[in-house]
Amino acid sequence: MRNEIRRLREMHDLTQAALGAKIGVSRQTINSLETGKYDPSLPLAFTIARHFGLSIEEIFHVDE
Amino acid sequence: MLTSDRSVATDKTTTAWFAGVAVGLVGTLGLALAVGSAGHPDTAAGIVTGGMLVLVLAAAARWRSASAPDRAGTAARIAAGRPDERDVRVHQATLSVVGAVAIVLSGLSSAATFVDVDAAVIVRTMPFLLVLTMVCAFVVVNRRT
Repeated sequence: MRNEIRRLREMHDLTQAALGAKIGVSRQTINSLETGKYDPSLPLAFTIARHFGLSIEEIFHVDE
Repeated sequence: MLTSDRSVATDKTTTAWFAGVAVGLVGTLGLALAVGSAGHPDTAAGIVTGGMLVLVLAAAARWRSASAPDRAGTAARIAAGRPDERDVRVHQATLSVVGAVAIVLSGLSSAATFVDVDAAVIVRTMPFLLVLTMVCAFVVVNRRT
């Protein structure tokens, strides 16, 4: 699954650690999400979407 | 998750961590006492040393994950009882590998007794093989997740 987390994080001028602290996960988890190694749970996806004021579909895209 | 829910969850993980340490301490000392009273003082000393080392490492991990959360790694957060959801997934995947390997090793061990391998050697080697498996599996899963 692809996502827009890195682009959104950089747009908001946040480090991985800062974004992680804001949504309650570690810096490593943010890094794994950005590199596509880890797909978040639905609650975490909602938390990320809510943090950026977007819908889940605008952030996460299923690889076709 | 609401803030109150998160604080309740934190309280539960803190309680679980301290309970785990207490069980580990009592288990280590109890096992050492039993082994020592059965006439194996060196083994008892080894049990106490190993057990205390694990408990000290867990306490150090908890201290590190609290004092420098940005620099604490996956293993430190798990040992500290403060994992996030990715850490939990890494932990579960690691233990599932250990479980699968344990089944295979138990079968091989059973077969080995039929070719005159000393059963005591097998039983004493098994924990070290499983710990080695856990470390290797953790490293691989953590890098891939």
